[in-house]
Formats: sequence, C-alpha cells, structure tokens
Amino acid sequence: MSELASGSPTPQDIAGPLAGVQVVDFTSAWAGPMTTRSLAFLGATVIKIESPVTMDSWRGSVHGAAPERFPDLVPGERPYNRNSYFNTQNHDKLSVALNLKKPGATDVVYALAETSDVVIANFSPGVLDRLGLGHDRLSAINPRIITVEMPAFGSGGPMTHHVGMGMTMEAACGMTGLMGYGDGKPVPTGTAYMDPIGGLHGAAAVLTALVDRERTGVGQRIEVAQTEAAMHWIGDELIAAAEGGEPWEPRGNRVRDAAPHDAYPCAGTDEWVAIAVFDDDQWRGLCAEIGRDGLVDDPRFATSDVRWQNQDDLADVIGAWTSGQDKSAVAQRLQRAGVPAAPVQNGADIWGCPGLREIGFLATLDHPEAGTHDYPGLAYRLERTPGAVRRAAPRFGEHNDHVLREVLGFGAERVAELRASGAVADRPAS
Amino acid sequence: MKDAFSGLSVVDATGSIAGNYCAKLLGSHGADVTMVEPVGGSPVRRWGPPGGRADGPEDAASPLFRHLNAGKRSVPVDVATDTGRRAARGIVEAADVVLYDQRAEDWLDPGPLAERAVVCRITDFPTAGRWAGWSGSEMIHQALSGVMYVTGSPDRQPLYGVGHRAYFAAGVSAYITVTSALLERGRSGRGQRTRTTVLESSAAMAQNFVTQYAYNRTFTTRRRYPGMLSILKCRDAWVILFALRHFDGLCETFDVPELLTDPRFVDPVVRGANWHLASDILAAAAARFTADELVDRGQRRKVSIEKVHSMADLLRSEQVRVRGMVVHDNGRTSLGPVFRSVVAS
Repeated sequence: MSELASGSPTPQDIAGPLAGVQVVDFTSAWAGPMTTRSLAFLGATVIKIESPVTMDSWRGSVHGAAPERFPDLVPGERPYNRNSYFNTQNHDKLSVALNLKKPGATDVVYALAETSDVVIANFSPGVLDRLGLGHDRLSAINPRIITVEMPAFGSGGPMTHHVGMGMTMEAACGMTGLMGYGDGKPVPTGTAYMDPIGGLHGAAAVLTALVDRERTGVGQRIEVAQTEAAMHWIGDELIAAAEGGEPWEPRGNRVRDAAPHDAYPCAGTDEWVAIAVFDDDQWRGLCAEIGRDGLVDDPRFATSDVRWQNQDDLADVIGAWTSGQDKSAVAQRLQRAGVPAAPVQNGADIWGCPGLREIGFLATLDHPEAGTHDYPGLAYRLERTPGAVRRAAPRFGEHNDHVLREVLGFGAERVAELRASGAVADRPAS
Repeated sequence: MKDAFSGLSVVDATGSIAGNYCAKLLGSHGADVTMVEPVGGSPVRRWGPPGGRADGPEDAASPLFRHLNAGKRSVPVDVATDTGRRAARGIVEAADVVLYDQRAEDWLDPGPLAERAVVCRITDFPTAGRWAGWSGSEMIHQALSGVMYVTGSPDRQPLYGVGHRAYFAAGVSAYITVTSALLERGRSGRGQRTRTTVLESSAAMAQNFVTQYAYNRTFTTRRRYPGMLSILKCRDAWVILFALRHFDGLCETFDVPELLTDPRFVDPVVRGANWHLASDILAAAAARFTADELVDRGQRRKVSIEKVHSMADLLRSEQVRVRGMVVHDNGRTSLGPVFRSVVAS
C-alpha cells in the first residue's frame, strides 16, 4: 500500500537517486556496511573489497559462527555465504576479493579509483594511508574522489587509536551511563546500537560530500568519528550538564516528563506492553480502558506530578490489568483510546508484524546459497526515484570477473596473473 | 563542506526532534533554515532536560531545543487563522526543501511544491493503513523496533534506553532522503515528494532480528548477548569489555594468565559458549583496578574496553577537548561537528 501519489517512473527514476554513483567499499561488520547498504539502496554501485585473509567479521569464519546466524541453524559448506548478519547488511553490493598485500592488488584499487566517486573504510586510523590507499594518493588519480573514514574516535586525541566496538563506543560516548534500572549498574543497549548510528551518519557524510562536490568540482576526505556523531543523540543531556544542570540518573523506563511510563507484563513468557502517559487526557483514556472504579479520581494519580511520585503504586495497578492479556491487543486498545502504547516486539513479532509488511518494509530475496528469506528495509522513501532492496548479498568474491573484466576492462591474461599472485582470491583462506 | 548547501533555503515546519535534527544537519552545512513555529512555540522548547524557559527567544529555550535549532530563523505563525495559513504557505513556496509533519497538513499542499522542491513528510507512523492514528514516543518506537526487547536483564522488564534516539535516527534518515533527492534534482531539475517515519527508521536500527527469525525461527533475548560482552565494576567506575580478538592481550590486561590454557576458553567457539564463566573471573579481576587503569592496559593490547563515561567525565575528557566537541560561547553550550572534512596537512 503506497501513501504517496502514483506516477509512472522512468527507467532512470527506478534506478534510484544515486544511479551512476560508484563506491569502493572497504568496510566490515555493521556500521560501514550499513552506510554502503544505504547508498546501494538508493541506487549507487557499491563494490565491496573483501580480504581473503581477514574476512568481514559478519561473514564469520570458514568454519562457521554461532548456529543462530544460519538458515535452519546449519552453517553449510560455505557458512560465510549463509550468515544472516552479513546477508542483512550487504544486499545490492558487488564482492571483489582482494589481498591488498599481494602484487597487483593495489593497482586494482587505483584502477577503480579512476572512475569511482567514493572510497569508504572503517579501518583503524592510518591503515588506509599505510596501504597506499589514502585520500592523498587516490585524489592524485581522481581529484573528484571522496574518501570517508569512520573511526571510533576522532583523530588527534588520546583515544584516537582506541579499538572501538559498538558496545564499548556506547560506553565511551556517554550513552550507557544514562541507562539502567537505578541500582547503580549501567545497562548498555542490547544491540550494538552505535553501529547503525555510525552507519546513518556515514551515509549522511557521503551525500553531503557529493553535494559539496557539485559546488567545488573536487572531492574531499571526510572523518565520521562514530562516538562524536553519537554524542549528538544525547546532546541535550551533555549541554544541560555543561550548563550546571542536574545529571540524569537512570531509573529504568521512568522519564522526567511522563508517568506512567514503563513496560508491563502480559500473557506469556517475557511478554510486555510499553505504556506512556504524557498528559491528563491520556491518563483518562488509560483509566477508561482499565475500567477500575475510582482510579481516575484517585488523588494519588490525579495530576502528572503526583502520578510521577507514585509510580510504584501505578505499576501495581497497571501490571495487574495487563498481565493475562495479549500485548498486541492491549496496545491496540490503548492506541484507539489515544494512549501511546506498543507491544515490546521480539524478532518473531517483527518478522510477522502485519503493519511492517503492509508498508513494504520487508523484502523477500533469493540467495543462491542461503535460500529465499525476508530482509528488513530502510527508511528512505522517495516517490519519483525510489530506492529499494533489490538483490541478495553477494557470495564471497562473486563479482571478481565482472568487476575486473567488465567494469575495469582488464584482459584475461591480467586477471590470470592477479589470481596467480594471490591478489585476487575466489575463496577465503582457511 | 560547511558550505555544501550554501544558497539552499529550507523550511522546517515540523514540531519534532526528527524534523529539527534533519534541518540542523542541513543548516550546519550552509543551508538557510527557517522554522515555522506555532504561536506559543514548538513543543520541542519544553522537552528534554530542564534549562531555559519554554517561551521566549531561542537562548531561553530548553537544552534540547537549543541543541537542535541554534542558528535557525524562527517565524511564529497562527495557522488557526486564514491569515496565518496564507503566511505559512508564503514561507514554503520559495523554499528548496520543505520538511513537514501532520501538524502542517491542513495548510501545506505538497503536490505543487514538489514540482521543484524536495518536500519531506516526517511523521511517527505512516498516516494511512493500520498505523493511522497511532501515537508515538521514544519508548513506543523502541518497543516496536525490537531493540527494547533485548535491552536489560532477563529477570526484569526490558528497557527502552535513553533520550530520543529513534527520533534522531529518523532525523538522519530524513537527511539522507532529502540530500539524495537534492542530488537527483541537480541532474533532472525536478523536485519530488519524500517521506520518513520514525517507525521505519527505528526498525532499521535493529540488529538482524528479521533475518535471524526468517532464517531459522530463533530470536535474540535478554538472556544472553550474542557476543563476548562484559560489564565490569572497577574500584571507582564501570567498564564495558567486548572480546572479539586478542584473547591473549585480554588475559594480560586483567592479569589472569591461567585463562589462556583453560579448556573452557581455549578457542573462539567454546570461549563464546562459556563467556559467562569468563566474565565472572574477569569481574573479580577488574575490582583490583581503576577504570582508567584497566582501559589503558587493555587498549595498549588492542582490547576493546572503555569506561562507562558520565556527562561529567565527557566534560573533563581530553579527547573531547582536543576535538572541540563541547563549545562554550557566552554562557551557552553547543556540540562540535557531527562529521568533518579533514584538511590536508
């Protein structure tokens, strides 16, 4: 179901707004691949350079990974082509397996640089330069090239060379310290949330540089320090603290400006509904649904201030009502009554969510080794030049010949030499 | 890069964090941004941590409002009146980019605007179908996205997180949508209608939930994080450790060499399966160090470990100072760039 006006897009329109943009992608894991996945979704050609020695960690190893990453829990003969983590973040990309330490490999990158618009990496600081692939070197080949690096921490400081992962970056940027049950122990987000934060800002940086290039005619080198970008997402807390405000102490799901505001138990094991009441109208709506005599007039809950103070009592009342009920049914009832509420969805719920399917958020893709499955989309909706999830993630080195022979125009002999030297690999090392 | 959008006019007719953050990103790279605010001010003026006044000029508004809207021009418009609606339409009709939400739908007609402008509707939910009429908030979106379900302790209620991260995700998603449409407009000469919802933006932040279930009908819970993660209490503060590589370095960091030959942790596969046991051993070891000591020991050995920073820690941080990430100007504070161009030395 489309909310937008219908029309007849041209073939150029269908290709997406970034049709014609070519990206050389050295990224791995989540943040960088989410950036390049966003660009591919919007129509860019993304050529993913994969090392046969140290594969993208989200492919796992040649021996496999945790079984829950694989179709039917089976790693298979080539588990690195069947890993759900990799296959989620790398759809619509081309895979070229290059060992950058072998003769001829960097020449492949230099050849790609001649016709590419963007080179992107999430290596540790300095690695691209040491490989001879830094911005200075590549812009000498192509002055229009844009290089985007996504370190955990910005250059020039004492933490510049820190090894950063999603969870540790979240702690470092101040986010984790604002989360917890109020017993003194911090609670990090249950996913590596910093990674998609970095992924989004990486895409934003690439697009900004592409716009800037229209103005200047030349590319540039961009640094997206992931912890710095993420600090903006809690920027209000940091500004308040800097201006002498009282620091926020985590209190579970409780917040400054709403009560009740929490997750309440529902029927089943580990099933919850989130309910948030911000004003008296919503409070009255909640009371009407709970239907308990005297609740709406109970002086302990009559105003937002006293509701905030008496949240423990409120939790007992609401929890008694929600337990035994289906979380989605409760949420729907409350939403109809004007009360913000939602089932706390798990992976099964999201996959089966009719609302997400209805709006086309999920895409079904055929992968030659992983099979046919559903994948999540992205939130970029353009009417006339839409983006899309079109093709399954590439198998390791799947596009070696396509890129070398057809994109770069290398002859058969040169390609054979690259394979003989080990520069190009068709399978990962053991 | 700070002039990438020089000459571009943007109207922010949203009353949302998402719309404001999208417009902030455009403004920080040179766009001229005008906010259309209702009489009485945007609701964002009253959100977030306390500080400043709800009404009045920008510098008296909440830290959240100032963080998102510093540098924008504000035009209060009473859209309840015909005069006000005409004024609002006059503001948007010359803009290159128009950001709006459902509050603007009774006076803003995106169709004609989109002939030459990029028009982006930013809402919590799709406004048609089964989501029509839904009320959103940060916790609601985190609950729907799947991230809340996996955050917190297995024996307690799940946690939504902090702040307004789903709305910031939508703001950046809108920025990506708008800038890609602007690039296309540069080639075609045509604008278009676009949209971003907080619902989809926060669902896109989730870690492979859909795919894992699609592949094998399992899903992650709060019982166990799918990785070698430890939250450890040092003498003075907490640290977070993520042990992907360099296990030998990790054992040196914590001064627990016996783990290297412990059969429970001898290779990555069994180590991952038994990580909860390793965590217990590391927790005892961590108590002997301060957080800064442990982070220093670990990072020297390429171990990913960081202190859980408080706001006060960040304000004292040499990394933050060197990078100019907290800027003080006339008693008011702002943050440094979200990303930056690196000038060749």
